[in-house]
Amino acid sequence: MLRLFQKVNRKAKKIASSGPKQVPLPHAFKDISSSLADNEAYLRQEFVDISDIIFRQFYVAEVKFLAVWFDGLINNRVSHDIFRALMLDIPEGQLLEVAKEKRAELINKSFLPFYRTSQVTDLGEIKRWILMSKMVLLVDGCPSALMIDAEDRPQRPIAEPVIEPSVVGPHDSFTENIRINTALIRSRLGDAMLKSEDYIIGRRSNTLVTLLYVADIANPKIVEEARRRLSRIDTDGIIDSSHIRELIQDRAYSLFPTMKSTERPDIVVADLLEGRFALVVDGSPQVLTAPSIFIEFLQAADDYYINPMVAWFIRALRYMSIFIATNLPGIYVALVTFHHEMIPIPLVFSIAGARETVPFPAYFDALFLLIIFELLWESSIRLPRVVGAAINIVGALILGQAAVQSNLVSPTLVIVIAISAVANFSLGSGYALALSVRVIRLAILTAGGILGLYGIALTSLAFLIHMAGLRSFGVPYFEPLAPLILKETKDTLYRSPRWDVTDRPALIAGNDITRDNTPPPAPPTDNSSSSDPGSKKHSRRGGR
Amino acid sequence: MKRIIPALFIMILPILFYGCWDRREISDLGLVVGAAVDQAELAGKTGVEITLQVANPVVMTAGQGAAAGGGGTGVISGMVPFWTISETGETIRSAISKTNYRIPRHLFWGHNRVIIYGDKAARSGLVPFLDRITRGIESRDNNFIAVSKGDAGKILELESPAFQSTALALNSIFLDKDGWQGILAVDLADFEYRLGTGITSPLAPVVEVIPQTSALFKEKQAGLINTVAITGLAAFDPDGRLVDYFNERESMGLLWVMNRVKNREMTIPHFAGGIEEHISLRQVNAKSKMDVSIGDDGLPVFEIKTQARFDVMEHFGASRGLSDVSVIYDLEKMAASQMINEIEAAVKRSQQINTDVFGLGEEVQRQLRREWPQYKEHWREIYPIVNVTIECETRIRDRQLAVEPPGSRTEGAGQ
Repeated sequence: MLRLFQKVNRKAKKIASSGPKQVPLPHAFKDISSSLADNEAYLRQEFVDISDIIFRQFYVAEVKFLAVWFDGLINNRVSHDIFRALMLDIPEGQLLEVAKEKRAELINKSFLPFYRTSQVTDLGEIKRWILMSKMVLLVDGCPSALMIDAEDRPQRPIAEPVIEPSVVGPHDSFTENIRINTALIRSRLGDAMLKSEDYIIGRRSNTLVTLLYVADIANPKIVEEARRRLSRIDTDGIIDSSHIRELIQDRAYSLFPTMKSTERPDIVVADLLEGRFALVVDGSPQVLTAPSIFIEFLQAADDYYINPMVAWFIRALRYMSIFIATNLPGIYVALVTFHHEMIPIPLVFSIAGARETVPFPAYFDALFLLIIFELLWESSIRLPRVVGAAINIVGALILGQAAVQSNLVSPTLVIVIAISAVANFSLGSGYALALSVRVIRLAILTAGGILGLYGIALTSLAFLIHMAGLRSFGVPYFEPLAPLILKETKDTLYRSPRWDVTDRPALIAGNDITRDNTPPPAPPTDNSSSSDPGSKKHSRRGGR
Repeated sequence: MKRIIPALFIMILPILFYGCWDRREISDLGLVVGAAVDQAELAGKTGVEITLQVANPVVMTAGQGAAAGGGGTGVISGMVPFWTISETGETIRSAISKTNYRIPRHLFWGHNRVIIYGDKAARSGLVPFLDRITRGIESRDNNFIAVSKGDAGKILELESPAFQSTALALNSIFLDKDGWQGILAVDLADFEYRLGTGITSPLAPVVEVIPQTSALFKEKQAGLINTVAITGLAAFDPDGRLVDYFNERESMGLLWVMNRVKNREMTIPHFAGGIEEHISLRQVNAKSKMDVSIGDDGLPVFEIKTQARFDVMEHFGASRGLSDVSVIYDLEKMAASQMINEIEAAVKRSQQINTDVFGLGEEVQRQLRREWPQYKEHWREIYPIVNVTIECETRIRDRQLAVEPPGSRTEGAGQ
């Protein structure tokens, strides 16, 4: 297993190292000295009081070498290989023949069987490479050091998507290792126009962030804006991609997500092909893509892997479910409290009969149940897996049933809240949106309880106005719908077959708008059949 | 943050407003499902007696109120699913107010379905009795209106083994059987519209309490032997006073012309070899047209053309016939003549009591816009003497699953 992943890893490295690595973050420049002792003293001083760093000295033909790395971040087998190559394979004469200054270059050129190495002349950079889990090799008498990428951090294997599972389509998901993640994307998008730029963000964490975009599709202005926002970040540590998202997204105080984070490589590739950029953050299994529009959060990867007509239905279901999830409890409370005449007669009797013995107003009932639901939701996440089943029983069976039997809530309300909760989780791949819906539902419920349907209309309108004003990297949040771009509703309101969705989203992609030139499937034209009508007839007859 | 915290505060604050002075939840309401209005004598003056049917939902919900769910008649447990309460007053509103002394809930009219007027009130003119109903913000235009030949209150008080609430039972009848035979559902909006024209006579179905023939001995003992039925139509004059009643046959004729017939069924005699058999038909669609022209005497002449299609529902007999086209033609003719008879009866009756229930006046206004003003003032004198010709065309569409009765024989044939 491990070997397989290393393969993937290496493949990724090979491709990635073909371009110049951009390291834009400033650091303290201190030129490397040609005396190994000086350099070692400097590094030892920098890494003082650190127990898990390894300084390994060795001599080859009387030349002193020093390898520095953090224990555990370099593959043991690989480090063994390195030492073997250096200590056993270098012909001593050759090493002594070259000028002292060229030793590092010679080793790099001829004796380091590794994909990614580079020569470094700055002690500050050396220090950072060591911190970023690389091995650095210093050679006595040579004013340049070698960075060897033999990185092998603790990592978990590629697993099934947890947050955005799908029935059909690819079943791999990102891991915490940025190289695996970029490899998963690269392996799906073999295009030289897929550019990647590295950023090292976090004064203390030195986290590697890779900006990916397809150069001849993406809007250069949007990419430039992404660069600008990334380079503006000045923080001490990036632990997860969500930190990056919070630092660069448009409206931090909005309930609605304006950057999508996904754990599915296929979604990232699709987004890249639509002209979006992606941010892969080391240590995070979630890749960010932007610009993001509202509709995206109501779509799932499955939509594109199943029959388009079915996808059309499922999307309609989801649009309905966001309405149910946000509005249903509010509408119920509004009807029961204010608009009694809007409930059909038989229903009004059963609701009134059921509510007869309930002591609290409908609004507090609904609030009570919703808070119970939110508690269950939260506790089922936080609870250790082993105890999870217990909470399910308590939550589903005991709380619901007992609350009704003890007349705390009305049974109709239990149904309403349950439907709303179910709808909440059928919103597509947007877990971010599912989180927002929780809050929106509460707001609409309160408005419905105070002002009835009028209040619900008012609140919905307020949310709508807010959303219509949102932008994600300059792209209107309600893009194809507001502003209305009829052509693009093919992939939003419904889903046309792929050959029909000819264009990329115009407001997102900057160039190369045409995505698909496949002619629509058609039966053989008259031309082909009439070219030899006789033989066709004949063959038909012959067939009988 | 500076903006968010006050915003959150403002959002949370209204929660505290909830549950204040004017909160009125569904369970606090007395849902009125039907009302009956009668004229009453109040210390020598005429007043109003109102009877309300109010739902008591807690009895209806299963699992609550013990055995009440199975009760049906409401006799079993102490609580009944519907209260019927009666009060008198100078106005409808004052009578309704008085019921508040005896009902522990807030009366809510949003779910009222039926308003029944007593014969006495209807004859004295319905206009004053309609005001409160149309003025109230909770009442609806789609409430059905009906007239009771006797005391309207008695209708709502009726206890029957077939239903819990007379009002809801009438509501179901009107929804389901509107246009069937002589039943015409009239809602407040229809009634008000006709009243507003000043020439067309408003109509309202007649509700009567009739014995339920299938009553069991047990039910007879309990006195539950009656049910309600729609037995015709009440014709009002354009000022809202009840003039007279149309019987069922006349109502059926009226419905053809009003284009309100739906699923009308009729049975036609059929002679096969000298034996009288019967064939039942059901109408599937029908369309009436009225043409107005000026006759030689200067009065408008009306030509009513009605087309209808029927399905054969039943052939009650043992002989063959329906496979024969000439029999079908005969049936069509018989059905058409029956329709003509019905329509004629309705026209005659309406002219006799001088109520323009067909809207003939409006038809003149529509078709002869220029001539109308000269008739307008005298329409009530003209109406009884105008000429109406009736023409009916029928088609038999379908014989459903069989052509002939099972095992029927042609005379002489061995088959």
